[in-house]
Amino acid sequence: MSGLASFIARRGLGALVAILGVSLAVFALRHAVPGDPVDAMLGEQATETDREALRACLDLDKGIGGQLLAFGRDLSSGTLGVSCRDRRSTVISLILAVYPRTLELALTAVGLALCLAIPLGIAASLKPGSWLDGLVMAGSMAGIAIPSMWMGPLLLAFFYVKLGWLPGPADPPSAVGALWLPAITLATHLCAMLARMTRASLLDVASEDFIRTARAKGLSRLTVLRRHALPNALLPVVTVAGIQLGALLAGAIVTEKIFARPGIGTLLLDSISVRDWKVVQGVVLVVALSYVLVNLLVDLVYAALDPRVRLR
Amino acid sequence: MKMRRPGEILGGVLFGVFVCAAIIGPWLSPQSPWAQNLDQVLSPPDRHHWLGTDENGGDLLSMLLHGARMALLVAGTTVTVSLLVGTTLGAIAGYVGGWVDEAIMRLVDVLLSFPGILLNLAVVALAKRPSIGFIVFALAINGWVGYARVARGQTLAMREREFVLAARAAGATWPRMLFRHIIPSILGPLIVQATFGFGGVVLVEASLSFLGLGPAIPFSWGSLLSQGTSYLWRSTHLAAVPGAAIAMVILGCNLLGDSLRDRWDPRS
Repeated sequence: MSGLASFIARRGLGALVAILGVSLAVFALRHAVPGDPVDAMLGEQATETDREALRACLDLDKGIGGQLLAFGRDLSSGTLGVSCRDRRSTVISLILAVYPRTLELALTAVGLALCLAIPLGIAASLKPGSWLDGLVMAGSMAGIAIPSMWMGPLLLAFFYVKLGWLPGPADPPSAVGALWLPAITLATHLCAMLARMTRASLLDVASEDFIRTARAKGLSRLTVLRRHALPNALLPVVTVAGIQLGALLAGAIVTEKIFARPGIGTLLLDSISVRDWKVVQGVVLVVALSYVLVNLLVDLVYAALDPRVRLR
Repeated sequence: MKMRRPGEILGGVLFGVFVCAAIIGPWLSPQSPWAQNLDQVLSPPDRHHWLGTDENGGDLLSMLLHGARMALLVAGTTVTVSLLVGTTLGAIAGYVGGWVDEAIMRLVDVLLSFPGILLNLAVVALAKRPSIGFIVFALAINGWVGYARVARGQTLAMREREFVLAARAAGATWPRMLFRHIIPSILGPLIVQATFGFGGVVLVEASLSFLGLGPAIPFSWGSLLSQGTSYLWRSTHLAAVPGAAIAMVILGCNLLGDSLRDRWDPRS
């Protein structure tokens, strides 16, 4: 158990260093780039008092040391600072208000991708080289190449504009079925990837000795697939799906823009457009943290399921 | 010479068409991409406008061809910079070993520990209207990582080969070893990686443009697509065409990468 604890501690520490490094890098770059964010946020004709107040909010009235100090204070207080747009809401409250929306989108997309990819992968692996296999492989090759910024508009044009079956950007995000199109958009690439992985992984396992033994002792093909091949073959597939969940949190930015859905991505883009730096920094930090946590969790689950894996 | 599979041919054709469109396309474009014709807005593809027109009556095909050149310029430069930096650092890490290896690979781990697009976004957002150079910089910050991993792995495998030992015994210095002996012999896997990487960069650049954070270049495919999305309820082709172009380039790169890997990588 101490091995597990030290694994978590070491990985957690490494992740923390990585995240701190990123935020410091973003912080440093912010200073390297010319241009006054105050102008971008307020426009040219703002009064001097407004400018001073905003400058103070962004900590621009301090020297670089003071800014770093303020940055550290924002981090340690857990609020991640105060949004300079209304100067009342803390960054973390803004993020937490929309985080569930993005999480629900990403989770639905992963679930959808798994539900579709595993049966397709199994079907393709049953008879490699068959027309079904060819169809799944060609389809997944296309699915991998289709970017979500194309998939989304195509789905919208068809199911929302033309057929009117599902809600679109003009409807509230709580409308019935509002999650469908964004989730399919986000799931396409992942689903195609997972279908190929399932197929490859099943074909790998199929040549193993224990599968031959199971067949030799008289088990039916179906039983062998269900009891012996699938549990072994699906482990890496589910792991990748888990790791991708973190990436989808970031990938949701494009999808949320297409469907005008509130979420982490919309918050990030809004904040970038008005140069509300503390919110931008906060979002980057929270998404990076989620990604790292998901990865850590996936590693732990993997180790628990596969006795061959040793945590190092 | 084994028989070519359909995927290989398709990949080559798609990528070839893209490169040709990018290089000579702007001269072949039927009209100026800036031209407007308010009598013919949002018209679907027809004899005069093969890919239809946009909301100002501009010819979509001409815009797409001009955008292709910019896409090739950005992706080509980014991949080249990432490849050079990644290969050099990776080969040094693999050849020199010790704390140098440790330091470089730790940096790689840090860059891999969170979603790359987020870093690209955060960096690009710093500039009001990023130049092409800034975009290349933003994409190369984490773009070199993949090449570094491949180069390091390959270098480790090369390090104990006879010709390397012979060169070392003959007194070659380590930079000479790296650039004259090791790197030339590990180019295959790196080119495979770069082929996939090219499609990836096209996608990320288009995504940034789609989000309105792209480089300050006219007719970027991502911004054409974004613009088309806002006219979706009036006509579909304005979004469908640029999106198809992006998907074709990515598909071409993936197919080409697959077939190059089959050819050069004895393991598969």
